[in-house]
Parts: sequence; C-alpha cells; structure tokens
Amino acid sequence: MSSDPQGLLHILEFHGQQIYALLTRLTLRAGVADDLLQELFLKLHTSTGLARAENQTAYVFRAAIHLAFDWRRRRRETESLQHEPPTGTGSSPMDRLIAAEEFEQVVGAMQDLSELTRECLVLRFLQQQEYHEIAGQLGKTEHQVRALCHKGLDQLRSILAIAAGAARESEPKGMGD
Amino acid sequence: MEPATDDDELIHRLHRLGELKPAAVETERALERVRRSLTELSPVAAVVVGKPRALGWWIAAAVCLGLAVPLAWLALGPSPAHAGFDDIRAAMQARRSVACRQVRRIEGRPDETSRWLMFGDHRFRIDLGGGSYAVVDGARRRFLRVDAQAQEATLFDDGRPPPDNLYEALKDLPQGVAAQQLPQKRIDGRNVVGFTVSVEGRIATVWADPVARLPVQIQTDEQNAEGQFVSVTIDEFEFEKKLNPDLFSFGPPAGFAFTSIGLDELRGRWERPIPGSNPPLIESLTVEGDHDIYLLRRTDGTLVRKLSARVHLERVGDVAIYNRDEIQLVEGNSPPGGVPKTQSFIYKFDQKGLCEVSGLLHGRDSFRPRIATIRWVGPGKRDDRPSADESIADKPRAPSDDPDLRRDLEQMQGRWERIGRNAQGEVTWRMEKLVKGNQETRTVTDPHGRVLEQQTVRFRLEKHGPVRVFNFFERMNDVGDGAGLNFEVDFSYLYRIDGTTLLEAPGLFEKRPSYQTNPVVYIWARSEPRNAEKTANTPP
Repeated sequence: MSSDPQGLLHILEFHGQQIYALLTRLTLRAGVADDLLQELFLKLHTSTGLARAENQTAYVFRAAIHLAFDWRRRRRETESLQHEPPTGTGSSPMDRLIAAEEFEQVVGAMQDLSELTRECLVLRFLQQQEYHEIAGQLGKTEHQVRALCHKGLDQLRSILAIAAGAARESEPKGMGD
Repeated sequence: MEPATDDDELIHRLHRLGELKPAAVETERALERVRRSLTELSPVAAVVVGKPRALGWWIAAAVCLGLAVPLAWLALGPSPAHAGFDDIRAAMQARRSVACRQVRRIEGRPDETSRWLMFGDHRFRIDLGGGSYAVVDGARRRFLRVDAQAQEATLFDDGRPPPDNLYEALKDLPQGVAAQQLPQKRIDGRNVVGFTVSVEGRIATVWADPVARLPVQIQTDEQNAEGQFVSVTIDEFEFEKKLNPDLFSFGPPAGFAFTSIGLDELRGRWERPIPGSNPPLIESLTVEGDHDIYLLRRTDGTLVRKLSARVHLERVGDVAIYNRDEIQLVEGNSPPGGVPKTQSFIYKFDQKGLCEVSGLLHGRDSFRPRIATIRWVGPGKRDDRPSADESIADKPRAPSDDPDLRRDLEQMQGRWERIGRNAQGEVTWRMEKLVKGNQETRTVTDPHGRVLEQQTVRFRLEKHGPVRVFNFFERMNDVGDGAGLNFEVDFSYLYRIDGTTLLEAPGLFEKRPSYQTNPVVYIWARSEPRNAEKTANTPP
C-alpha cells in the first residue's frame, strides 16, 4: 500500500535538508530541486516501494537520485525550454559561474554512467558516505562498492575528456580559417 | 574551460560539488512546501508530527486557504472543487476514442515509448515504433502482435493475458471507488487536479484538467522483482480522435508470415472410444472457430447426443484450461442431470495426443461426473506454434495467507497412502506420505513393510484462480539412492483435496518443472494415524 503522510513527515523532518541539498547538487537549480522534492514525496506517498523497503532512508535517497537524473534526461530532450541558470559556489559572480559550469559538466557526464555506478559515486562523493554505508544501502559488499567507484571515476574521466575534445573541435576558428 | 584530466582533479571537483549547500531560506521554503502537501493529504499528521512551527503554519495555511480557494474557484471556472475522481472516470467513460503516448522507464535501460489508440470497446492498438504494433481485443482476450523487422504476425487467442492497459483499467473502475485527492499542481502551464487510486494492484496517480475533467497525465511507479524503479507515464491525450477502423484489424499485413496460437491449435475433430461402455460408445469433439460440437454415438453410428458450446481458453498458473459455455443440446438425449451451463477441464498436448483432465479445478463444473484423465486422438499439435514468451508462469514470490490454502494445508496434515497391486490384486508396494506443517516425508515399502526409499521435502501451496499448486523444494534422501544427501529441487504438481482424498497431478504445466512430463492423476487416500500419533493427539 502507499506510504502514510505521517511517516513521510518524519522522513522529511529528519532527512529533508539532506535530500534537498542532494537534489540541488544534482540539478544545480534551486527551483528545480524545490519541485523535485515535492514530486519525490508525492511519489513516495503513492508508490508501494517505500513501505516494502528494508532500509527506508536508503530507498528515499536512491529515489531522489533517480528522480534528479530522470529530470536531467527529460531536460536533455527539451534543452531549449530550460531557463534557470545553474547554481555554483564562489565569491564573485564569475567564480560562481565557472564553478557552476564545472559542476554541470561533471553531473551531466554522470548521466552516461550506469544507474548503480552513478549511485555509488553520488553517495560516496556528493553525500560523502563511507564505503561500508553505501554497501549496506545498495546490498553490495564494500569491495564491490570500491570497485564501482573506481570504475565510475575512470568512466567519468573518459566522458569528460571526450566532451572536452568535442568542445575544442566546435570552437569557432580564427579569421581566414 | 578544461574538464578534469586526472583523478585528483575530478575527485576534488566532486568533493566541491558535495560541499555545495542551498541557502537556508531556500531549504526551509522547499521543506515547507512539502510539509504543506503532506499535511493536505493528512491534516491530523501535521499536529502529531510537525515541529511547533507547524501549528503556526497550520493557522497561516487556513487563512491562505480561506482566500485562495475562492480565488482559485473564480480562476478555474465551473466547479473544479467538485471534480472528484468519479467525475474524471465518468468523463473518460463518455469518450469513445482516445489517443495517447505511454513512456515506460526502467532504470538502466532506454525509455520505451509507444503510442496508444483506443477504440472505446476494449479494442486498442499499440504502435511500438519501427512499424511494429499490437492490436488487442481486451473483451475477448485476444491480441495480434506484428513484428515489422522480422515480417511476422502472431495472433494470440489462447487466453493468455493481453498487454496491460492502464487507461482502460482506470476507466473501468467502479463508481465510488476510493481515491485520494492530491494538492493541485501545474503541468505544461495549466492547473491540474490530482488523485491517487488503486487499480489492479498498483497505485496510479491521475492528473486531470479540472474543467474538461479528463486526464492530462497518468502515472504509476513501482519497483520490479529486481528492485529497479519502473515508472509508466501516459500523457499527450487526444480525445474523440477519428480513428480508422482498419487500424484495429486482426488480419496480418500482406506478405507477413502469420501464426495463430490458441483455439487454432485445437481446431479439428478429436475422438476416442469410451472404455468399458456397453453398448460401445465413441465420443468426439470438433473445434471450429470459437465453438465446438460434442457428439456421443454408438459404434454403429447411432447418435446418442449432440451438444454445441462456445469455447473460451484460459491460461492460469501455467496451466491451460478449456472452458465451455452457452452449451446447447442440438440433438438426441439430454445428459444425466440435464444440460450443464458451463464445463471446464485442464488440457495439455502430449506425445499421444490431446490430454483432458477433469475434476481438478476448484469452483468450476467438470466436463465429467468424476475425476478423469482422458486422451483424445485427432489432428495433433501444430509444430509451428511458437513457444509462449511469458516467464515461468505466475509463481508467487511470497508465501500466501489465502484462507483456502490455509484450509488445504490443515486438511493435508497427517498420513496418506497409495497401494500398488498386480493383476491378481496382490499388494506389490505401498507408498505413504506424512505431512507435518510444510514438510512432507514420502516412504516406499515393499509388501513386507521393508523401507525401500524415503525422502523428505519442504513445500508450499499456491492458488491461481481455480488451480491449486503444490510446490516442493529442498529434498533430503533419508533411505535409498543418495541417502543422507540434500538436493536443491523445485518441482510442482496440481493438487485437490477434499478431506479424505488427495489428488496429485504432475505433468500438466506448460513450462513449469514437474516431476513427470506426461499428465497423470494419482489418488491418495487418508490412512489411519499410528498409535503414537493418536496418543500424541489425545488431550490430557
């Protein structure tokens, strides 16, 4: 059956800030994270998965990651409709813009990873969880999680390198080229 | 800007991303919005769970709602507040044709997008892309699948479930079905009202236009058996679209290879002499279209009875069932007890022909007055029939607490016996099964009582409509070949129990492993408990 709102309010009170922060990191847009947070809890209310989950907190975070990358996938399909600029960190507007662009590249590249590898990287580096914690949440061994993170970093590096190559090729050439 | 070129830089960038924190005011605003939505779903919860500020919010929300509701009412037009799920359902039923898009998402796989056309009488068409499509007649449970790439068309008319149609399932929900209203939201720039409703074991979220009262988006989210998130979204609705009836034809496209599965494999005349009948009788069953003709006649050709019926095949619990209804006496004598309204039996093709097993189905009238395993001789099974593409059918993942199964399990407890005799009627072997809880010990002895074999298995019972299944596993050989060894087995058979008789019928599944290939029914009789058991069961 669906999850009761009271249980969801508990989850919201205890983990809401972290989930919202995670959604912000993955979307890099406060407004989108705001919408996704609401959508997440409505989905949790209407789906039967949470009630059946052994580790409800892990389930909620995995659902949030899934939702954020689902949004990214939809956004990639309708790129021109997005207007809100990404959010970065830094002291000056230029610093923030550069940071936001860097983050956008990394999170965008994560879209091309497998679901499991992506979850491992997000939980390890964005949520800064220990390997054994991630292993417990994903039903894997600590060794497997380490291997997945290592493989994920390798894949991310390749994707980013390819993207950089493509970007250089598409740069406008100088006069007379 | 250069991307990360080594792990350190990449990890550094990821860590910095992990340190990114939204502003406190934005966080609080987002959390408050969700709190508000959740408390709208359950106002009591806000008082019980919320932090002290929730009460203040509750008062503020009440004031806001006092202003917002009339304004929203004015903005949205005719009585949106009264657009309950029943109104949505009624509006769906009032529309004949519907076109929409369905997107099925499973994590780690590409999206599956299909276009659906519904004709309004449970006929619908699913365009799968690349020219492939399916046409479904939900009322008759038949569907045509066309594979454009392979240039093949297959008509499934064997009672297997057609593809799910979430829209039709919602439309067919009964009036007054329980639905929970969700907070309003906007989709593609327009206000929508939302409901969650349980449909065919899933929970669907329906977002609808409050004025037209028709769905804008329908969504379900589930986890499949592998723990993956599976979401189905239906949108891009067009109602009352003029649809070409030719799109819903069950005829295969010109030039495509065509296969028909179902009644087609039974088509023709099946016949058998009735053993022991005096005068000798022959019965035949001729299947044509969706009807059959049953003839009972003497060997000299004299007709005893001719019955006609409509045939409906069914596949449940990995078992094929032949159902007859609209049974009519066409000629000859009425059968003893009158013409039945319906009849059902399990059927299966084997090497010898068509095998009919009557008397195993629960809640169905049998084709025979008693338990029977009957072989018909006839046109035989078509060899060009492709195998069913379902997974091994319907094996439930969790134990059932069904009251029928609890009753069956209670009745099964204790000792059961089968005895083998030779032509002279002498006992050649005895087989006994002792059921204790969900464990069965089966012992084979010779006529002198020496134990030849003994095996113990664990089992569970399953119920699939009229079919009951005994599934056993974890076999321990106590005596005989492999004594002392454990075996990982997973075998099943059909059963039926009535307190004093236990029927055990292996070999009737389409795909599921059984311990015998060909259909057979064994009859176990209740045997007396041993003295020690009698004593143990006697209250002090």
